[in-house]
Amino acid sequence: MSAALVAFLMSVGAGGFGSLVGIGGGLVIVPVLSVGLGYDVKTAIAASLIGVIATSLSASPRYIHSGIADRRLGLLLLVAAALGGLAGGLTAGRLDGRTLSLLFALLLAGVALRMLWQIRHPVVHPPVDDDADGSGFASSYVEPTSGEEIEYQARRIVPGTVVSFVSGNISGLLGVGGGVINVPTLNVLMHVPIRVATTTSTYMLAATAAASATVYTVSGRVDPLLAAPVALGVIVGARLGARLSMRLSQNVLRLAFVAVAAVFAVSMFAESLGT
Amino acid sequence: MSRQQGSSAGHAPRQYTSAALSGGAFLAAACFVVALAAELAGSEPGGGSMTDFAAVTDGLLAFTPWAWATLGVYAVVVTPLLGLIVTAWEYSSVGDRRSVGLAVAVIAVLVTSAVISILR
Repeated sequence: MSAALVAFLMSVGAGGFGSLVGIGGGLVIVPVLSVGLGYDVKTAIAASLIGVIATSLSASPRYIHSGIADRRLGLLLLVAAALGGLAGGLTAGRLDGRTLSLLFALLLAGVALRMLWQIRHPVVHPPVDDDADGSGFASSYVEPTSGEEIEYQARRIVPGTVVSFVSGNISGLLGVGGGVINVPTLNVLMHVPIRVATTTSTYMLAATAAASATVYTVSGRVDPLLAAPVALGVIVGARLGARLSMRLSQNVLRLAFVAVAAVFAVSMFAESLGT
Repeated sequence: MSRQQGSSAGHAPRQYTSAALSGGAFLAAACFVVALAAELAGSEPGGGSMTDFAAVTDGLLAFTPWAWATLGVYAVVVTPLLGLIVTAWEYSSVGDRRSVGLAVAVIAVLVTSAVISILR
């Protein structure tokens, strides 16, 4: 079987699994390519970034057209996130593969621990603000399941912007989408409804990753023959995963992710030590 | 407090940004499919620097997987910038200067990343 076909099939699986547990494909595809298929971690990160942008481009037009993604809030956070992505892309070029593997192992471990925490402590929906002070971004959307118009106001704009910079930086440095940070930031910290948070995060991912992907592309770190099957595979997998996720228990999926992430984290940690 | 209703008429149009992003995604996917099909068909993979546009053009005409995959990567990387330009235009059409300014700021970051990458 050709290497491209193997990368495509692995990416379908990674994109599907990432979508099933709601973290996107990047967090799964990088260890699959580096640990599973033996690619250099920098090449895996660059291919993953192209996949992240492609996934966002295929999903966000629907969210924008329906008016659910909050573009005004997304643009505000994008200024910081894209700056973070640019900084991450430039920093990644100066770090060696072992350091990047170590950072990725730490990120995987952190996300796995957070998922374990979520299983025991489900997220409580933020209260609706009655004391709007005019400092936030107010908007509304039509909830597709009920047809009801829901008004909300994004709060804590400055902390949210700072976290967006960090999220963009991690995205550019490690080739992940950043949704794993963006969604809780928008939902829990900024009091944006979860449906708006996930769609706005998806909308933001393309431009965030584009800032660092440009650095990777021009500096010759993108292998197009790997990026093509990865991008196609992640898109196909993400769509399949989104359909399947409605039928499977989220807690079972999260436990499965924790198990897989633990294996990858240990493998990448060992790789960072050169063992 | 300015309220932007996400779903009602009379606010910035959204269909042009959606069309720009969909078009870019479709173009990229089509290029990737051609590259994958050419590779599976046993074509010479080709290769070179992604910034060597003459090599990319020659490879596209020769249907090398590398050249078509490179064109797909270009489409993926450039489409978010195109989407932001269209978004800025959509907001300017309804006089929302704050959103135009934000879109222009993000465009400036993306252009800066390209300039820095080329100069390094």
